[in-house]
Amino acid sequence: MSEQVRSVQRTRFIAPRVERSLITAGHALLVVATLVAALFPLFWVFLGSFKLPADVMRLPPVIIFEPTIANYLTVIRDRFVFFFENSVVISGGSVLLTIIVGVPAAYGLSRLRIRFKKTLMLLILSVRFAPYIIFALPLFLIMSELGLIGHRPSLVVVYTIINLPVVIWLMRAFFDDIPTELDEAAAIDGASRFRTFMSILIPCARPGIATVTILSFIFAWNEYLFALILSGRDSQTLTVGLTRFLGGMEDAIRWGQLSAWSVAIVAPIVILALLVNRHLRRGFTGGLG
Amino acid sequence: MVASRTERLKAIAVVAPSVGAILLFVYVFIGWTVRTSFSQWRGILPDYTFAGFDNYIAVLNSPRFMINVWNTIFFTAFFLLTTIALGLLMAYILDKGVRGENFFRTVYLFPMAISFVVTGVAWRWIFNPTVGVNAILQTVGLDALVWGWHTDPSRLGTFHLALIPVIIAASWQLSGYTMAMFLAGLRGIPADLIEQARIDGASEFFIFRKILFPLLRPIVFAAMIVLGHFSLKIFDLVYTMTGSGPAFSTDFPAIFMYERTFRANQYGQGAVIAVAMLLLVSVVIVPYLASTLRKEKA
Repeated sequence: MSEQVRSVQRTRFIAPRVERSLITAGHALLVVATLVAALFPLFWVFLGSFKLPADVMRLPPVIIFEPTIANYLTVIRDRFVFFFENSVVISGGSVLLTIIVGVPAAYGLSRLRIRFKKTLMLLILSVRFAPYIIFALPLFLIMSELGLIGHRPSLVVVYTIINLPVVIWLMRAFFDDIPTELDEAAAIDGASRFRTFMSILIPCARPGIATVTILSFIFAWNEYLFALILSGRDSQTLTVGLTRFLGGMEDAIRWGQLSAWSVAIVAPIVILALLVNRHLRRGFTGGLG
Repeated sequence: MVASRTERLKAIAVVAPSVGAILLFVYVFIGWTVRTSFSQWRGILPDYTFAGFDNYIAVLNSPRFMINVWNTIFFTAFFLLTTIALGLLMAYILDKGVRGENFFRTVYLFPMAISFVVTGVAWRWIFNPTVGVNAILQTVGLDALVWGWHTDPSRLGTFHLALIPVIIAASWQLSGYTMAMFLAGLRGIPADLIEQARIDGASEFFIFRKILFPLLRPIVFAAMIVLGHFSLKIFDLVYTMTGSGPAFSTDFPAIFMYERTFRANQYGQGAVIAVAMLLLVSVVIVPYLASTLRKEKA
């Protein structure tokens, strides 16, 4: 009897332990699996960017090979600088414009008395949820009429409008978090609304402004559809530059060079993406959710 | 506090540029596209002569559009399923506590910051039938899993198998998004609720099914809306990964619209496809935005 009790006690003591360590092992396996899955394509492209065509074609595929920077040299010869400059100027210009227009609007929607605020907020968001292709045709016609196809301002304007919801939604939330007592104190000291906005709210909201600046920049940097339609020959961005090499036979594609292009497109935004990691989700929905 | 005239003017001055630009962009352009969809415009020169539903009939009767519809249905269904399942899995892993949580969260979210164009190129190479994963599979003796991936035109009923690699690529890029949504939700669940269930002897599975899942259901719903609307308007990823694919096996409405309008100069028909996409997306998104409007406090 006592023997039995002891054995029951022992199993009760051991069983959860075994179960737990099994769970832990399964858990660790899942963690590793998801990590590998998340990094595998990036690793593949990064590795591939240092491979010569002969190494790309080698079967079975090799992980160890003699790395070459030949692909990157080809990328530079393929007028990388031209595309890079377009991307920087267009993304930078649109971000600047979005901040100048969007931050005061966010302030207004946070602090000033405006009717139908909720409706306005959703109307602002609507641009982000519409299928972008519905804007493509009129945009193309207008920009042709204005002679702006192939000129940077056309893309600057489009990216500004598409980024406005992100800036307004996130900045409004940032302004809402700043206590209104600060405004009131400033008002008592005789500061105008404009003065309060410039010298109190803006400095307080600086982390927010940095976040929306980066999110907007990433969007503009990565955009493809409008760049394809509006950039003509003279203002093509990096994403359009990359896809020049995709035509033709599947097996004639020079993967090494494409990978080097891809790495060059992704590299500048790695640090930016790490800085705003937590906000990427809202960047995707334009601020909602 | 009564808003003075100048106060009101100030409010209008700061908000009007953004709202004006967006309203012009969205609603004037939608109106313009709708008008074009009813016009006779085919060819380089604009022709807004009213043509009734001619373009609509032409598009609806084209076999390519029907393929588009089926592709969108299958892609959306499987993409939602995998992305939500993966997102839930990753959120669950993080929520159970993992050393270096920030590192994992960063890695899971990072694909979202990458251009869809780059993702398309990367996966196009990975699934390349000669030098992609097939080569790895053959090396390790898994020849049974070797096939044409996105270059394979075969189908099961109306489901094109070439969609599978595209679904994998899209899920890879966006499961981080659902992970972040779920993680925020899981963190909102009081810890003692789960602790109490554990003390009462509930299994992990039971806790997941009976406590976590009901609490996460609204998040699943929100994720379905956002991912669903994304999959309805997908362009860059597919366009760079497979184009339209063999026999339109990975063709989607946005690609069809782009090619009809800007390659074939069939402006009227292109506009019809755009309008059809707008209607589809609206069915998904308008009720959601309306309910958000009701919930959000003024």
